[in-house]
Amino acid sequence: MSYSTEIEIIKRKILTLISKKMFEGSLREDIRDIAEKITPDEAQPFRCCVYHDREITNDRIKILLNLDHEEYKNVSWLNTYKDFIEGNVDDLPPLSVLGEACNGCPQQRYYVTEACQHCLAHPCALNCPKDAITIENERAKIDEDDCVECGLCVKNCPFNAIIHVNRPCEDACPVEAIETDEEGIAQIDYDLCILCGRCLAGCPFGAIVEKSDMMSVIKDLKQGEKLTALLAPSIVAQFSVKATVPELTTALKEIGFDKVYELASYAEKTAGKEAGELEENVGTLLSSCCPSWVYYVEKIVPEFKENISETASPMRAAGQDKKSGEKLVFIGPCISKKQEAETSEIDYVLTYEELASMLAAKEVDVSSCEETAPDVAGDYRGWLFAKSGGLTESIQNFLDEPGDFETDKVNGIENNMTSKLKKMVEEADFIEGMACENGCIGGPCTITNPRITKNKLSDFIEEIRAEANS
Amino acid sequence: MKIRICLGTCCHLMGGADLYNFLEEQLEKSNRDFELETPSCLDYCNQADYEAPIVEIDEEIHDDVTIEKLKNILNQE
Repeated sequence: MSYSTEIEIIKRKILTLISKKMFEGSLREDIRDIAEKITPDEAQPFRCCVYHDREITNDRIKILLNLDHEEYKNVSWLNTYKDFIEGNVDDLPPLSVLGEACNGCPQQRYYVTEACQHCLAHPCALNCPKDAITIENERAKIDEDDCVECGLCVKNCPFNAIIHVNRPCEDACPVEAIETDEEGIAQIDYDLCILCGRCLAGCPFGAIVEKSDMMSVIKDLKQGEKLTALLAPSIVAQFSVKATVPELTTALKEIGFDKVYELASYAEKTAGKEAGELEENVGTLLSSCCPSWVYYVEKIVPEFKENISETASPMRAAGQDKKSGEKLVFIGPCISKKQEAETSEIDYVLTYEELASMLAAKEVDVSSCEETAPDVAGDYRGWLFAKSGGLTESIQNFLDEPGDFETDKVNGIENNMTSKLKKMVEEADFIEGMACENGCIGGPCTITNPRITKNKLSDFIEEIRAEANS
Repeated sequence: MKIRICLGTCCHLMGGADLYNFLEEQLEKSNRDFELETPSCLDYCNQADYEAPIVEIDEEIHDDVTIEKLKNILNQE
């Protein structure tokens, strides 16, 4: 398991500060001071100097304002703010690379480390098919131009002195969607990218940033628009390990949301419909609720595109029920929902990190709130969607003869898994696909460790199951 | 030693979620001699001199706590 890094904490501090200013109505005056607050003069800078750190914070702020950070480099803060407020914003991709923050990590993939003993046998050089290794200054040396990255030197070194290093963003990406420009700066190939968000966590320099609806949501809340919050099932324990959904409902209404719906109510219907599709038995059915999984199938294994369930994802289904004058805000753990929302009736997508930052900015502590029942509540079959295996369990609840169907699951998309997937399609009647390990509770924009969320979710599901049976 | 970790939303967001997970794991796997209490918001994060996340150890308030800082404190005991 891994802990949140300083990068994530800084991101959350920026989110909290900027939403505080927006809520207070002082963003116009204070926007230029945010970067200095994040990196004060006396701070130990992460990069060459405090000014460089601040420039990166400013780039992040522009992305939060839905503006192209490169084009707005030399635009005054006043005009930057004005463009956001007046809605003259850019159509940003769901993920952007901050060139200023990207380290341009070395692409040379094989390194001889100081563990090299300058041995007599030098099997590294002996086994190199391109004669790219020479022994110089008592150490093996790899000629970058001649190396074809076959890895034989690594296998043959008796001291494990040669290592294979890759750019962390590339390593994290399960679909090889990360390229580099001529200066070595990472670039995302959106034709391949499935928006799983792993590069975001994978980059140790915090150079990959997601676009955000947070500021537009605050703008609408301040203008008194009627916003309905749709809570994804993985929301359990995201705002405090103690907080309950009814407490969160109060907290959301306190910061201005008009209504709060548990998306589990729609998820339950999705499961019922998918069970119906499965019973029609027209070939292996692939689940449709995780957009990154759907993008993966469409882009990487398009031969199975037709197998994707036609049932609308719970978010999409909620969009179909939108009432006039209402705006829908999906609150969830992932980036790909931001893309899915663009082809649905959903108006905004907030991540748990963004919503928690808004709550922190308004000084609303969720677990100290009174309990209010959400306007629409779901049952346990909907809440099950939050974890890997849960969707399958939910569907099985709707089947007359669950034993008749072979099920399998993808618990986190892996590199080079196409052949494994082909085998799964051959053998199973239903495949539950979730791009993130552990399912939505392991999403890239969650706050709570999935181990804890899983326990809290199980308790919660048991509770509503017992209530329903009593 | 008595550790009280703030479970308020602000502290949770700024790293408290991980501190809680870390302390819980410490309690499970080692025979660390500390008592863990999990009160709701301790109400320090909104005060000017304090920065989230907040942890109270033997009635002393520590702010801007990281796992590294916590490890140091635990090791000193």
